Amino acid sequence: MASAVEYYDGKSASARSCHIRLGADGIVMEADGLSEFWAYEDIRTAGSVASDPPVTLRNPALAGGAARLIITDAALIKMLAERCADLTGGTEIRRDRNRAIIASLGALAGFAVIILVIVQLLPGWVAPLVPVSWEERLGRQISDDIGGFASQIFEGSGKKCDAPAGQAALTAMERRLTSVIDSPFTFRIKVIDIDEVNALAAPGGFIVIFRKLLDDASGPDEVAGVLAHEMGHVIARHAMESVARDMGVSLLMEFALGGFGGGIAGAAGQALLSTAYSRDAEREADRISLDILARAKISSKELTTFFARLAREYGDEEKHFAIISTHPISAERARAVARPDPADVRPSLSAAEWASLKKICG
Amino acid sequence: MAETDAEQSPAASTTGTAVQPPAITYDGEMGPLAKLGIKVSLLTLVTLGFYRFWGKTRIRQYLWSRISVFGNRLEYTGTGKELFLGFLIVLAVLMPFGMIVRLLQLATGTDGILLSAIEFLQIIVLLYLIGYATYRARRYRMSRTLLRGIRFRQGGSAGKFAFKWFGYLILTFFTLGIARPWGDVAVHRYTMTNSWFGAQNFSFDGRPREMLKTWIICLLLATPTLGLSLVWYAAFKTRYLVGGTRFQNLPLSLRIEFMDLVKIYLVALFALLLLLSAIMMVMVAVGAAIGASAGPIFAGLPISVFIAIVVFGSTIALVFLTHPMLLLIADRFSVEGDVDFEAILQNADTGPRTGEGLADALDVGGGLEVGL
Repeated sequence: MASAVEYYDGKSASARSCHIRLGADGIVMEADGLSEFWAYEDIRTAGSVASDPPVTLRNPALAGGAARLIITDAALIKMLAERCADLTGGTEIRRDRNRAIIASLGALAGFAVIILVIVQLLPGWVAPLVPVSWEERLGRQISDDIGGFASQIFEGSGKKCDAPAGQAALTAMERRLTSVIDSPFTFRIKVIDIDEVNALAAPGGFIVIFRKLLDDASGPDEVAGVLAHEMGHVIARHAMESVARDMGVSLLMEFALGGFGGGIAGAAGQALLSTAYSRDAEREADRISLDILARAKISSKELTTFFARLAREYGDEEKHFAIISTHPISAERARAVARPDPADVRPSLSAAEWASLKKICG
Repeated sequence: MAETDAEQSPAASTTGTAVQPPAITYDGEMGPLAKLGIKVSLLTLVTLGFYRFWGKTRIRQYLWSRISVFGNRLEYTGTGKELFLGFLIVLAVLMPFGMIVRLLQLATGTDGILLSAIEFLQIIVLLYLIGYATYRARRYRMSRTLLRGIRFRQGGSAGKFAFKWFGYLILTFFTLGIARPWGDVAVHRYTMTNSWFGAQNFSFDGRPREMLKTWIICLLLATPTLGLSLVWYAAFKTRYLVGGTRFQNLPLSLRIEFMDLVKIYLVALFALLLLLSAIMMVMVAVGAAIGASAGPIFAGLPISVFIAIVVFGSTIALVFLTHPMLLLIADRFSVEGDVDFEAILQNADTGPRTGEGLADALDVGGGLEVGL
């Protein structure tokens, strides 16, 4: 049988009316100076409108693949559908769709691996390359801003405490510790008026102590222990590493998720990944602090009792949040830092100095 | 299509008409489109965004195949893989670049003149890249659009386009907006004279000065009319620019009026508000069912709104913006005279191998822009 169809040869936009014959293995299109053979197994519908006539057919096996055949006759379409094994490309479409889903899940997994690399390795490579002066500039900014920040979350004015006698005591404690440290950083320590037991190390040697830590401390050696711990962070460049890590992660989130999943995945992933890292960092800082204390001949007993106290106060909470909590569980830390003191330890501050340090915020 | 062709063409003869079919018809349907949109959005959500390349491709396949030009359906031949590869390439280029910029920021600290200089430079580069990416994305889309077995093509240089686009943006800024028509015309002229169907390009003939009066009036009225005069200008600009465009020396025409656009925008806005109130209602109902107090419900609100907007927002844009816009274009577009398809040959340029990576990363022009 022969039927009229419209043929586009993929070389010109002109429509050629031709006759089509259904052969044994394929269709033959014939017109003046035109004789084309398309095997049944190669024929596919083009575009996503397949059911209602006119139907456009293509042949991906041909060079160029742009030739199109338009059939209006519903009976002819039906006959072709019976002969062509995969006219609508149904199996291809299903396969492609499954592949697309697999590919996007694969991309997601690959992306997770890249994030892990950025979190685990990149900070360690980048942080040591950052010049001390850059790091100091960044740290100064953070140290200047932290008081204002903290005062919005916690009680207290967030202002820097600078009673002269207290400042002198703080300097004395700092000297005692830094005299045994060999570090390119100059340590700049300040106390801010915030009603919360906490201390932190910004990049570049800037250390901030929250007032309540002084209030609650059982003695000067406890503060010295915490200070040594924060110095440990500085020496190991943890703050710089975490800045580099946050940068890398946020950058990748920005581009890769195309402003899409960035919101949820970004926040959740970053929180989870950066804490997983910083628990290791805390352990390292603990180790360094014990070294510093031993060399400065300061007892680490009060640091141990400090962690034990934290464990008592926050014990249950910490167990629940162990996975996402930044610090290793305090009870575990208390055990880790319990170490015999050298024989010749002396207090980190005199009783008078300690009294003035406690009054640094007035 | 000439009348003699129509007589030969079985497609035309069975419908019993010898007249040329309308320049553009669009027979997409809201239901299937909404279903497709939601399906794609859900998959995109589950894969944290990575399905978007394949999803975008599926939606384009649908839309393209529902648009007929002089009785022949368009065909979208792009693939998700091409978009994904384009994305990977751009990621490999942009990541180090972004890292360098951030390190520079670190080096200069958070204040000082150097930082301002870097930020300024960053904006300049970003704006230039936006123009560049928009044009590249169009080049990809055109090369993947097929009609009567013939490819469309975007020639020209993305760099030159970006330079023009960005240059006129700056000029418009410094002339307090007055230079806008010159920018509109320059950008449209460059785009259209470099747009090809097969081996035949479009041409453009228009004068910015003819748009100036309308633009100045719209600009002055922008504040008192709460921006509505800018929609007026958008309609006027479309009519003027398309009206000045020719194909095979035949003038095109797209008679879009201010009220057409306002109607579409209002319906879309209404649909969006409906979506938001539906989310609220579901939240409250869920809260009441599990007996939670108002606190946790409102704490969960931002994240649910975000997810709902991710899932339904793009579908609303598809169904209530893209779809009616296509209906409008199909209704108002015409070509004065008969296109001589016999004379149009295939172009040798099969287009870029991968597509739209930069546009995707910058979130520009990666939409569903169709045809002309």
